[in-house]
Amino acid sequence: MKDEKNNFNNVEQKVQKFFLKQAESLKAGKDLWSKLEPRLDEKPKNTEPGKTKGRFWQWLAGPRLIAISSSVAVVLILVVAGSLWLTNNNAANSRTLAQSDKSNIVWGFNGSGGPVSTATYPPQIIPQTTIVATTTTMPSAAVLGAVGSTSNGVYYAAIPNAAGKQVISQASISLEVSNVSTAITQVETLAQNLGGSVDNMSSSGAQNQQQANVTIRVPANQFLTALNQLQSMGTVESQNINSQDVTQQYIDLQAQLNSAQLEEQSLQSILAKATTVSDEIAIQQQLTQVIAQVENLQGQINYMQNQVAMSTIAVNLNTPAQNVGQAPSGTLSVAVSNVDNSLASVKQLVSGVNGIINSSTVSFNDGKESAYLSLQVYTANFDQVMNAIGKYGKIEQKTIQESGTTQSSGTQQSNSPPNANIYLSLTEATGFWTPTHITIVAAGSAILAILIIVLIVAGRAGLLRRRSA
Amino acid sequence: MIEQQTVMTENDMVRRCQAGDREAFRAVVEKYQNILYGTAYLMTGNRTTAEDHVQEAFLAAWKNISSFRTGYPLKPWLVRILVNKVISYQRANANTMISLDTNLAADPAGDDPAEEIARRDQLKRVMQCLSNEQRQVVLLRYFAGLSVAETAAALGRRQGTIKSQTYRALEQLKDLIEDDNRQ
Repeated sequence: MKDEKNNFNNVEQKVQKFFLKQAESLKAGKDLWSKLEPRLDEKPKNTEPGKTKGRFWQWLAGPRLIAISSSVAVVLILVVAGSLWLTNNNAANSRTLAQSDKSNIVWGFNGSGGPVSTATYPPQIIPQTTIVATTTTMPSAAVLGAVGSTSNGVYYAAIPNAAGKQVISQASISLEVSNVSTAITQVETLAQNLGGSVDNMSSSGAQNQQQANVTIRVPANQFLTALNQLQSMGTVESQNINSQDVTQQYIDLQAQLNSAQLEEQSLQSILAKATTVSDEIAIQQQLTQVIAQVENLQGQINYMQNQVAMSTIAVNLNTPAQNVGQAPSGTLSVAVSNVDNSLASVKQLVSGVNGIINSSTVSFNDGKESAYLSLQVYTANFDQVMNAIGKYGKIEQKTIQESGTTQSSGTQQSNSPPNANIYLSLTEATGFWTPTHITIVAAGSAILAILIIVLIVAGRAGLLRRRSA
Repeated sequence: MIEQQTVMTENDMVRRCQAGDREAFRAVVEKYQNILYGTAYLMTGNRTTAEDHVQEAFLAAWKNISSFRTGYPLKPWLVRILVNKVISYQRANANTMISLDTNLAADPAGDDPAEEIARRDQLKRVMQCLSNEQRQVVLLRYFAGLSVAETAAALGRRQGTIKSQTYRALEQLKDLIEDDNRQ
């Protein structure tokens, strides 16, 4: 140890000696002062580092600048990625719905007339139920009709055909037109123009109170075009769109058909080799069954293909005269603190006045819960129900369409169903700070904080210290 | 006693410089110009650049002499300013490598050309066997005569770093200098 120290000192002395020797030959020019003196009055080009206002920028320069800008970039990327993710997630939800099977469709069927909720509730299957736009306001009656009810009580959800899927699309639309006869012709023309046909047509009633039901079939890719054109033909009273994903069934049928065809071929070859009449008869019987099965399966597949290829739209046409004296209807959008509780209260309220919940759906968008309900109550209870629901939270939108006269069914009678429609939207009253936003901002801040801490620690450890005063 | 007198003198010089006395500053320049020039030269390997750096360092010192705290030695402060100038320049020019060989070759020979060539050759080998950081430490410690703390302050490194860099540099120089002595 001592030797080592002595060695070190020896080397140190030698190095010192070496540099002293160098110093003898390294001398500044004698005219240094004469060159320097005239410059003493100059303003300095660069003030001494660490003593001036440039200190911050010097501190910032180099690795610190890189670290800070990287942190900011990471946070920005997180925020942008989060926003994109949110957008895509919403879009994906819509797509999921578009491709969803009928069992996942929000709007249900109420045949009995009793209070029924057919909705996708509880919300476990919510990701597939985000059908209604993310707006917090209740859609207008006409728009709501797109996911609403028909007079015959069938409810559908909107689904365009999806690529690569076997989807059967159906829709029903109820239109109020000034002239039903003209409208029938228009519907027929529309179907033909789009490469479709009229499947069924019936009309009834006198000139001023005429009503017609026209069922048309249009190519699946013209489905939405047809609907759009139909909507422009009159006032939409209700409109329902439904699509059923039959991809799995189609694949199953196809597999069964292949199997049956193979069996048929096999039996044919066995039959050809049969030597005895009894064998031939037995095989022939089996073959007959298999051929029937093949034909049956082929028929089902053809039907399915046809249904997939051609969408069905049931158009109900009626004149405004029919609507005289109709029950009131209203749309109500309420921002509530707890959607589930409010939903339960609404159900209880409607049930209490012998009303019907045609449909209810709960959806989550961006962590925000919303419920959409289609109610029918007796006219006598209409105002009471509207007011009671309005007290659940902050009314964001309220529209009431009153009738001139009240029909007999407006009063509570045992043999007539409630007929005053209420379209209700319950949305969660939250601000910008949804859980997703909070998570993104918190994650970004945490990363930024960690980076800054690492930076400070690194700076203190001398890793990033500038070699300046 | 002599050391105390030196400090006193230096303090006086500083005070006079702070009062704007150019003659006092001239005394400072004359006292430290060689050490600064040598340091700059050994860092850059170029006489002209070294002279420029020395001039800039003295100018900066003159402009900032009012902020200098009397009672402290002047040399480390001046060396620190110079080192900052040189390092900033080298960073700006992305030329941190010493090029003693080419520059020394252009130097005019001294009284004894053979000895001068041998000296340059030895200097070149010593400088080349050290890393840039080691070279700075060795120069400040053994050429400029700064303490570990002063070197650390001048280079913006920790004292421990300076010590370890010094140790490693000396380890590398050990064989080289012994070899040179044998020659």
